[in-house]
Amino acid sequence: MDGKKDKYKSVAYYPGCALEGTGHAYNRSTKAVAKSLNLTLKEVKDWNCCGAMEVKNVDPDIQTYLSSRVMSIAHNEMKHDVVMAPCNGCYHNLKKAEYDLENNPKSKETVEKISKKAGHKSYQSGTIETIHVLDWIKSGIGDDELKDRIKNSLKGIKVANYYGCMYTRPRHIYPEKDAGIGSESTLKPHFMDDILNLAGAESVDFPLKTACCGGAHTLSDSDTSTKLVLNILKAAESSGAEVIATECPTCHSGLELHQVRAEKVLGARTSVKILYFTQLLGIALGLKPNQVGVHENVSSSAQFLKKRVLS
Amino acid sequence: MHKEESPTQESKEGFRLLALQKQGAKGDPSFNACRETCREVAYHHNLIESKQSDEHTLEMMQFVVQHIHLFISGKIEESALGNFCCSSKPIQQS
Repeated sequence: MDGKKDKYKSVAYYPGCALEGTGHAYNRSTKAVAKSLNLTLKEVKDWNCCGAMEVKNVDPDIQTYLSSRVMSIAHNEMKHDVVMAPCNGCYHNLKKAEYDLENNPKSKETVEKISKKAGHKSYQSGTIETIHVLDWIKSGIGDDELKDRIKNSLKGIKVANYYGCMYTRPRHIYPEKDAGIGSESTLKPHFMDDILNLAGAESVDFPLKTACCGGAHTLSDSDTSTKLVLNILKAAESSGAEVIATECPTCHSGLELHQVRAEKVLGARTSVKILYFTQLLGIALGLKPNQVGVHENVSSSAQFLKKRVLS
Repeated sequence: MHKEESPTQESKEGFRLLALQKQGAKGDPSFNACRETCREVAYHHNLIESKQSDEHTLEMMQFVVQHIHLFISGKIEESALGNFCCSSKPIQQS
């Protein structure tokens, strides 16, 4: 763990497209938490889209190239060996590219060909460790130090930690998970639970923590997406949760917007609050709500936080 | 079931779940859609297996079952929807 602590002290930061748009509050809160914890983020220079879901389905090798370019810049130009991606889609795609380059000669050939044409060094698998913001906080600070830094305890707040599908699936691109004591679990992830518990929150038993949010179908089949989200919201409330903590901008937007749509279209009102885990952690670390972008969320949590944490 | 009254006992690519999805879906669902369905069922089955059967757990399992139902039925009713799934393998590699 100490080796990781040193390694994660300063990392290349890959925010990805969503964090410059709908997930801006996640970007703001991640940076604010980093500053508060004295961890350094160096944004990847001239980064590009990871290929998201769209490119992957048109040509998977192009998606591998796009993700590999981010890692190439981080390693070859910025001399980093760790890239931290808070977005589940980016994190997933960089891990997938790493796997493909290690195991698929055709992908490697395509990446080398396009990199040459684009005029930059091609990424060599194994030179970058891609981590999620959860790994980064969990291992970069350590439990004891994080606990010592809590100024506004989240004591009494019941949280359902929602990880979404891409953080753990498919299992083969995450070889570091399910690797024994201290590692993350793909079946029942717990890093977000661990971090928010250290901040004083009570994580409820929530069986849909890795269920599909309907993100990919939100435009083509909005009704199914709304029903999927409503089921997640209801399950969280039945678990006793007052807040759903998120760690993916797609899931977060989906939960917020379909919570509104569920009331409008299905007449189903839910009152559970939706916050990025970095917002909750930031508040616990003593940051003000606007420093972690609470005002940028669709669901209003300002009064809740004022009453339950900041009073 | 859209095509026949009773669930098929056949297997597809060696799996009965794939054959059931093929049987129940409108049109001809892609292998990707079937695989994602099977993965969700297997994943949540493992979750259910790891739980105790107390009242709260059973209540929570209703949400899990409802989620699987929505996840699968959305793809069955909308042909080709399963081709585009966040954590799925790309169609071109199916």
